[in-house]
Amino acid sequence: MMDWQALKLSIELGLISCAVLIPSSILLSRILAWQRFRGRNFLQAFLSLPLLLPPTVLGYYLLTFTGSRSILGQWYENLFGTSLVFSFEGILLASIIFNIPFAVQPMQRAFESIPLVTREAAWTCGLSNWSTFWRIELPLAWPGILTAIILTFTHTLGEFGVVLMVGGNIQSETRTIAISIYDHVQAYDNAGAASMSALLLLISLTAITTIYVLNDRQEQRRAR
Amino acid sequence: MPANSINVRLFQSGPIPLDIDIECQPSEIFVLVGPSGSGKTTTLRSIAGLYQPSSGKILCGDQLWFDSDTGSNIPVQKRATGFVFQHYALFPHLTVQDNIRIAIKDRQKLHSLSELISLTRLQGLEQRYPHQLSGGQQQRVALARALACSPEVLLLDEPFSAIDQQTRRHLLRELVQLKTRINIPVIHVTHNLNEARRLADKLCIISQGKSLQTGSADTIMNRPVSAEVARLTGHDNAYTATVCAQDAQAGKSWIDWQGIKLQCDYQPEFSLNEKVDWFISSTQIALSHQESEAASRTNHLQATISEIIQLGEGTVVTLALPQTSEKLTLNISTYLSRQEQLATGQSVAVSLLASGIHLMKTSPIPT
Repeated sequence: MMDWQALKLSIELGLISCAVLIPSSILLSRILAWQRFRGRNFLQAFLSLPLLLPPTVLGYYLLTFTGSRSILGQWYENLFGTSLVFSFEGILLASIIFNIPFAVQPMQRAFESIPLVTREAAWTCGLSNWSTFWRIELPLAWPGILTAIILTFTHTLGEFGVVLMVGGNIQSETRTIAISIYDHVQAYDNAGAASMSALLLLISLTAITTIYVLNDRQEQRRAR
Repeated sequence: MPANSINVRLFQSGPIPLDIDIECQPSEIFVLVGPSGSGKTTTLRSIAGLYQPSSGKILCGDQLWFDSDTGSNIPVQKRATGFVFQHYALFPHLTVQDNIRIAIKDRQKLHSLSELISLTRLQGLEQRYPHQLSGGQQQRVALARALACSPEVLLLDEPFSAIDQQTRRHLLRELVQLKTRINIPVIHVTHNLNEARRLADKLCIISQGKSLQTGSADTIMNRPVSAEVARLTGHDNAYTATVCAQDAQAGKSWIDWQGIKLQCDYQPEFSLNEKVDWFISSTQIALSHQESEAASRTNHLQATISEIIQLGEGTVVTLALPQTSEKLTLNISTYLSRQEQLATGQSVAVSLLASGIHLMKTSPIPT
């Protein structure tokens, strides 16, 4: 049967990951899109690592750097009195890190597609940098931002390896829907695994279709 | 300096060389004309505050926008320039109305939106998006948007370059009509000399970032200060000679052009034996194959037709002069060329109108 608690936890994790990651990635992707600085290529490569690294490798490093013997882990324990690993906050941190390229790259492409002259036109109209961002850049980059939100959210729902390594499998705390599917298969509950898998399949397919529709619209606008 | 005029002095040696002087009065169209890469757009961008030259001063009315000496540099948003970009740079996600409205700073002045739409003849197009407009309509929206911020100066960066010939003629006429209504200086940039001549109250020839000559279109076309200006204004017949005689009483000067003595109007600013550049407009050259007819004229020369090229309604005739290594170019009507049955290799007589020979101080002509 459907593990509603795991689904709820996954949705919470996806929403909070988006809430934290998207605003900061907007700023980061604008910088990467429009500024040339030393180390830019290295930074882009570093941010893209989660795309290529096996989730277990990423999970291993996260465990190493957030475990109770690490500086970050000890600092967190001193501050909050609880361990960062095997906690919701731990898998949230993992989720944010492994989603960085999914958030940054679509937005970077979207900001890159806005010509400098469009922003200059806004400035000559008297718009401040903030107004230009709010009234010109954001609406024009919106398909890329929406793509980033969809990718981050769906990828969080489906992520398995990193979450399992950093968070384990604690009900209501770290057991996401992807881990729950694995549990159900291990327990020979094929019906439960099938219903949750079908739900993830449906969400993923809808998300990807939405992204293609958005890209198609953007391409049409560019072609005009 | 009268209020609302703009005074621009820009200088830098690189990366884009600039040596520019502009003074433009309200309701005056100042046209910067020059070849691609001559620094025209950089000059406009400097005035708007989109580019900071290494030194110079920009004064608009009594407002100092930029002064490298004092480090003063007013940001682009506060300069009150209306800028029409070469490809308009309209905001693609906004309707015509919103493209204009976004530039209206004072919300109290929203009534001016309808005035601007009517001024630029955009009625009925308010709800359309830029991609639903023709090139001419987009240009009008860009102009309305530029005027919406109540600018102190209007800057036009080759706004007619992407428009067909017929629409361009309409828009040129509209711009000339508009300038008196908006009563601000208009600085227009183009590489099209015909467009520049039709629009300009004041024309400035610019090359390699340097303003070479500023004045009325007639002055620049007929009295260029240098061979380079002559070349940039489309005059092919520019040469070097030496002043060989001056007669103030007779009002005549003579130059020695590779052994040929040519008479011209008295030009006292040049001294005897001074090396000078000179040019003659092709309209000041008479061509005849009647030797006796031409012989009685001043500055009579023998020539051979080395090339005839028909370009539309006109024909370009290139003449080789046996006495010199130089060539003369004439633009004549195709009708005349056919009537006179001109042909390559044919011997003809030409005479150069003395008053059409214009002497200039020598300067190296950049290649």
